[in-house]
Amino acid sequence: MRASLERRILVADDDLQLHDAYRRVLGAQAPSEANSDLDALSLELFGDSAANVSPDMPTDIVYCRQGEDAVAAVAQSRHEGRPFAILFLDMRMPPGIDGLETARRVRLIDTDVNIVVVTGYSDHKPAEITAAVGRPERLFYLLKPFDGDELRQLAIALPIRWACDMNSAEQLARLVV
Amino acid sequence: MRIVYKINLALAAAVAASALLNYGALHLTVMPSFLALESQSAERNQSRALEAIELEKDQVANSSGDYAFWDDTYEFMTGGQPDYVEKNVNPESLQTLGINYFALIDATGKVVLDAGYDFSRDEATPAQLFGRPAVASDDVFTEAAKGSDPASGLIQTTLGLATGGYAPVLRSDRSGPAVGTLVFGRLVDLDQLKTATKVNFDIVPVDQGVSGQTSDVAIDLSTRLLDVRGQPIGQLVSHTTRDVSAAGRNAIWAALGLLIVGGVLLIGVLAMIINWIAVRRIEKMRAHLMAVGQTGDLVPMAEDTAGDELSEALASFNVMAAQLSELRDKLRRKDYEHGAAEQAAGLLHNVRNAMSPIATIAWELAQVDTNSGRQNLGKALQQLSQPELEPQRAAKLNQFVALTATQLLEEDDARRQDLTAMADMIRHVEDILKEFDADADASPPSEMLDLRSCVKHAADMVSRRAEVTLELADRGAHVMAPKTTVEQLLANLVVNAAEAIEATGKEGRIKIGVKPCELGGAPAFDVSVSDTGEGIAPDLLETMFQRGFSTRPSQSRGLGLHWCANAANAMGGRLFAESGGIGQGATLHLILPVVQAALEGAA
Repeated sequence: MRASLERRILVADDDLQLHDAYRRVLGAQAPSEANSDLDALSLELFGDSAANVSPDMPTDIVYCRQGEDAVAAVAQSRHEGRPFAILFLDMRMPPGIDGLETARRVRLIDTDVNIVVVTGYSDHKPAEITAAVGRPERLFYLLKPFDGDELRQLAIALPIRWACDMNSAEQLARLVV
Repeated sequence: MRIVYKINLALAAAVAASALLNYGALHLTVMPSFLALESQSAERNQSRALEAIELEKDQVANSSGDYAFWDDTYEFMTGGQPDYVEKNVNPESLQTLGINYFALIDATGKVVLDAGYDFSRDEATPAQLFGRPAVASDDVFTEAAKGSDPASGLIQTTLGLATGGYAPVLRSDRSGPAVGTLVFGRLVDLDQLKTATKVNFDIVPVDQGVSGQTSDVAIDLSTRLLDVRGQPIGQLVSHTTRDVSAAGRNAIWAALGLLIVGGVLLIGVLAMIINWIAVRRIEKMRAHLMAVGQTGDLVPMAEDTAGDELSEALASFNVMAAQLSELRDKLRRKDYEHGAAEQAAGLLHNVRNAMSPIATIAWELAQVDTNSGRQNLGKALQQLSQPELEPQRAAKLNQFVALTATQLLEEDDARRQDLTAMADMIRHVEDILKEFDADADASPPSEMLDLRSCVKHAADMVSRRAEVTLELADRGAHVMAPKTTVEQLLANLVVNAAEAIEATGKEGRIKIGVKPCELGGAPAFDVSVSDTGEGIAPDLLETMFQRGFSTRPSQSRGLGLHWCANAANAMGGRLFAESGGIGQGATLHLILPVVQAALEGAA
């Protein structure tokens, strides 16, 4: 059994401002030196820290702007043995393939990754997407404009569940052998 | 090639073929009869000529018998009758008898008398038949004395061919013994025979070649003639002109000519009938279909009462055109709606996308407020104000306050930056909305519309809700306008009318009229929709077109009329209402210019 699985996140959206928005919610800002002094002082004086970073938040987040790039990133992650736990996926990403086609191709390469469809308006109905992509238990929807807490909770919870699933599968495989 | 030319060509070919066949048939059936008749006629002519010669011979033989069986002649031969020659053998008596030669031969062949005259000249010229003192004792004439009856035959004389008659010389009671032979000769007068027989024939020497065949103009038949001694003396050749076969040929040509003239007349009449029955109508259909192809205007063709296949085809076309027209309109509406839906979806996507970073910044700003550092600052300031505070803790608290203040200042700076970014993002959303507004303003393309058919279409929508009558302009009421907009506008007006009637709870009538009018000096059409419904209060006639107005909150009338008035204005037209008041019904007028002012300016 591996000690701990690296929990990685892939974001696919054609809008760079959306990338910023993801960074604001998911990006763990490394505490500055002054801040670490303040944290220590705060801990000593009041018994709690000023830092607001969750220890469970994944730190490795990859951003891409086109569906094809996202498919390539997933393929590479599998190849390197460092699969993604979540793919946050936009539906409209002109001029390349749309979110539905991206999800379909990603699912062919990686059956375990949690795909979260993040969209303002989808040209495809959820049932249509589920039918085309498969694994409905690993398919989620998040409506834009998203709520920071909601996104954050997904980014924390889904990778933990994903890691558990991975470990269980590994143990099961070993028992069978 | 045009269908009318093809039909005429086919008819002409049919007539030509018929003429050729008829010519062949006539030639094969009629011509042989004519040829047979002609051949029979030639045979008849030949035999008539021969009969004429025979008749001559018989006449001369009979005359010779009259003189041979006569006592005077008998006595003369036996030495009597010294004036016999003077009395009987003179030009007058020979001419009376119709003969040229008078000869007597005794039983031994001695020529006792050899006299004759040529009457062909003005004066009778003496001539002789034998021209010698005796003939052979076995000559045919000498031998004739041994017989008892007259005989005849042809004789060659110095003056030409003659018919001869000869008989033994006996007493009048025909008792003998015969004392010689009497010979009469008559020169053959061809002209006289031809006149008598009406046959054109000739007697030519034996050795002369005779065509004896049929030429294009005549049929020549020949028969060999023998003299009294059985020797060939000449040939009788009859000429029969080929009048019969010529007449046959003429008859065939005449029949053929009549056939061709008849055929040409028939073609003319047939062509006129076919033109009347089919070609004219096909041409009309073709012109209509070409017009439809060029303009794309699927107008129906005029009704046809002929009740034949063409009428059925025409009716089928009209049904098809109506279906196609309806489908096209439906497609156009769908297209328009789909375009609008697509635009709305794009807008939703863009706005939500643009809202995401704004929401994220707002979320982050809210996080700052709950930061524990801020809460601890309050605690630190409160503890610092307490006099019994340990100097060591006070120093640390001061350090904490300084560090926290610095951090808050930094955060404040970041927050200002975030707010600036947020303002930019909100402007971005505004831009997206502005862009959409500009797109939505772009009106659909105008086209040539017949308001009469638009009105009929709208009337169908409410025909079950009220009694609808139409008063349409006689001629086409054409305007340049976007079809979908005009149709939606008219649909709104008639549905409003139907609702106004239904609000009274009684049955009512809707009258829709289209008539020409003027709008700002330019030609326009006035589409009026009158109903017998609840009517409109005078103070509402103006305000009823404002946004949100409705006397019936549950209905969509308020929004509809506001949209209608805007749409009418956008097309360069007007929408206004007339009503005598509540309970008096209402009339809505939609005035549409024939050509929109903007378009007119552009043109």
